[in-house]
Amino acid sequence: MPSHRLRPEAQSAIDLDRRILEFIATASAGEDEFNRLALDLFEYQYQANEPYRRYCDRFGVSPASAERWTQVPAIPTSAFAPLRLACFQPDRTRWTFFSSGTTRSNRSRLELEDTALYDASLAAHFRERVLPDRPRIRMLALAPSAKDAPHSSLSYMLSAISRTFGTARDGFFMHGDALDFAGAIDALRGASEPVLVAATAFAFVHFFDRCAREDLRFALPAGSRVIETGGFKGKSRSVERDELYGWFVRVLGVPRELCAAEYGMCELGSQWYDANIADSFARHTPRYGVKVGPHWARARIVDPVSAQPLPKGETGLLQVFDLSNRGSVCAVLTGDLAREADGGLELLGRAPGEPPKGCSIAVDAALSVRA
Amino acid sequence: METAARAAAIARLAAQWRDRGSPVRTRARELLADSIWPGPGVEVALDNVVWDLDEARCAEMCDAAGGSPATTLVFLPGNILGPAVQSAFCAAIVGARAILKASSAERGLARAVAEQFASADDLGAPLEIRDFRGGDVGEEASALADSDAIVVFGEDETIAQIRARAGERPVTGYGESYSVAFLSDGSDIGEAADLVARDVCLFDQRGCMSPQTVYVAGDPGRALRFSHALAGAIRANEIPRARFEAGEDALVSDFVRRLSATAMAPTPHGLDTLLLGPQRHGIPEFVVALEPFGQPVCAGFGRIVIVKPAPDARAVAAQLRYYGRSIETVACTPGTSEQERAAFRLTGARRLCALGEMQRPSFGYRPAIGDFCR
Repeated sequence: MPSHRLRPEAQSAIDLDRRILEFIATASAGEDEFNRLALDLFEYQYQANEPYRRYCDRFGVSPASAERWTQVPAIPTSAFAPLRLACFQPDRTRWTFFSSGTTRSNRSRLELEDTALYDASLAAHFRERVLPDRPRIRMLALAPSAKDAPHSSLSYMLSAISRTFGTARDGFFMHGDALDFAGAIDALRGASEPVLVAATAFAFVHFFDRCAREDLRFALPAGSRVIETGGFKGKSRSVERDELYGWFVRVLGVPRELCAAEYGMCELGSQWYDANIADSFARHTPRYGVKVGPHWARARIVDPVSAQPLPKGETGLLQVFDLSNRGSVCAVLTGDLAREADGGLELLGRAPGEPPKGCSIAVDAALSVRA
Repeated sequence: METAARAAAIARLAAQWRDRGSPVRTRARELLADSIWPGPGVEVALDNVVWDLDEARCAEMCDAAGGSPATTLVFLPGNILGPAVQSAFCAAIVGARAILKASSAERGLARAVAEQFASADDLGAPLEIRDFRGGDVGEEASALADSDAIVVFGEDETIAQIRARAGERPVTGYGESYSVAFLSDGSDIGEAADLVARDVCLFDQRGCMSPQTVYVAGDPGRALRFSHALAGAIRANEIPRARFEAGEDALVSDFVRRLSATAMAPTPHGLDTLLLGPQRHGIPEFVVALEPFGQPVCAGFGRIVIVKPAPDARAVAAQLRYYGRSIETVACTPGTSEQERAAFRLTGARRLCALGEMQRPSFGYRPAIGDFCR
């Protein structure tokens, strides 16, 4: 039995956070280090997170029996709605993110007692995948800021990115439920330096519909880039991904290799980005549609029925072990279909029967009312 | 045709649906042989379909029918058996022409009732079937153009889309809603389990009248005992599970994983709180899970039932009221007081009934006679 499991005292949250932050900062950290930290996190969460412990007990897995992170039971994202999956008392909660949904009872939630890990995780991977060439970029977001949408993990992420990598001229062009179309147009027209345009797929569709009606086109400065998130997930007016990316090129004037999708969810602290932006700056052939995650998160593709790993290349549910989820549960089984592809993942949408979820839906619901 | 004569003719046709040996039952059995539904389930569903439409009721309804008959297009559901026949008889009672658009998942019953009506030349209520794929806007537009009124069974989103395309025609939607059962304090757990199992097994928890969550008044131990009794009753029920549909195994697996997290902790004396039926195709044939008191949990597939202990009916009613989704039926044990029933009515539930009667609403409940009038 590995010695780390014999430690008499529970790992303290502070100690774990310090080790996770070190791991995030060490790109060369290997599989053994990941496994050691993952199992320590499992021990901590098994002790501190009562609903998760019950879940693990049902599968007969405990810190005493798990020897690899792959043996740690992954909790389905659907359990984040009915259960408080947090490793700390409710009075210590400082931030709560909710997924989109029709009622509070069917919305997943992630509680954070502080944002240090969350911020470090999102910033480090964003820098690596989206901003490998420069320290800062002006961000124009067709989304509410964290101040306007305090329970949206997407708004939190965009605000944190703006704070860390943005400029004084950054802008959030959605206030309440309303898209500030005129403000966004002015900002895009006046751009004299590279900008990052970020929005959900749905917000982009609404924006481009309006641009088409008013026959608007832009020529954003070289080095500008686009990040879309949220997907379509069966709501409002879906457009083909190629059509959307065609608009990025034709209407915004951003080259295809600098347009990428982000994949994230309320239940996870880490994000996955299309590989093509970083590939392009590294002068590699851009891998389009291949999502790459951070080195502190591991992804596996599992059978939707048995939850057992599938052979490479087969399509199944995406299961994640995310070290940055120290305060909730690291091992999470998503409802998204994916397959391994070219050093990353190819996402294939929601599993059949899974309700649509994601920030894009909330934005679409708001904008459709005004269409 | 005179009202009395029409009522008598309709009652004769309805009686054939209650007679397992009648030609229409034989024909329906043939047409449903390839459906997902097992034979014993089909028989019970057809027994129920117009179970209370006797001659006196027909006469009463024909007399009471107000408004002028409207040619009515009915979008039928694919997840339960019944509305095709009920729609045909509602239309017949008011003398309206009905156009039945069957779901691609189940076309047999509409055909059976159409053949029956076609052979009854004294009815004077033409019945037509239109087969087109959901979303075929061209075919749908043609059917809409031939109609004065629309009835839609389906998801809220589908109803909204059809309403948007229906123009000025009135659209009655029977959309997404959920049902629960309540066991009052002192009710017989074994008897209640048998009755709930009957409601669960007929359509495998598909459909809005299935008891997704069962609240058991009393302490968690009573709810635990009921959970085990219910699992036993489902296991013993004569209706086998319907054929698995594509992707259902993954859905059930996902829900079972969720319930593994949300079910109450197993008791120290070994009674489990997550009860799984025999495995078929890698998934359990049924699932009964004991969860803490709270809002209803509705799977809507896979013979999945959630049991929750409850302080009392009032507390359950409060949970239903703030659930945020429509409540269709609340089924209660006989010991439920009038005060408790009144609390359930205040939740907006459309129907209160006895356990075991959830899948057997009175004729004219869904659809209603008025849906076929202007």
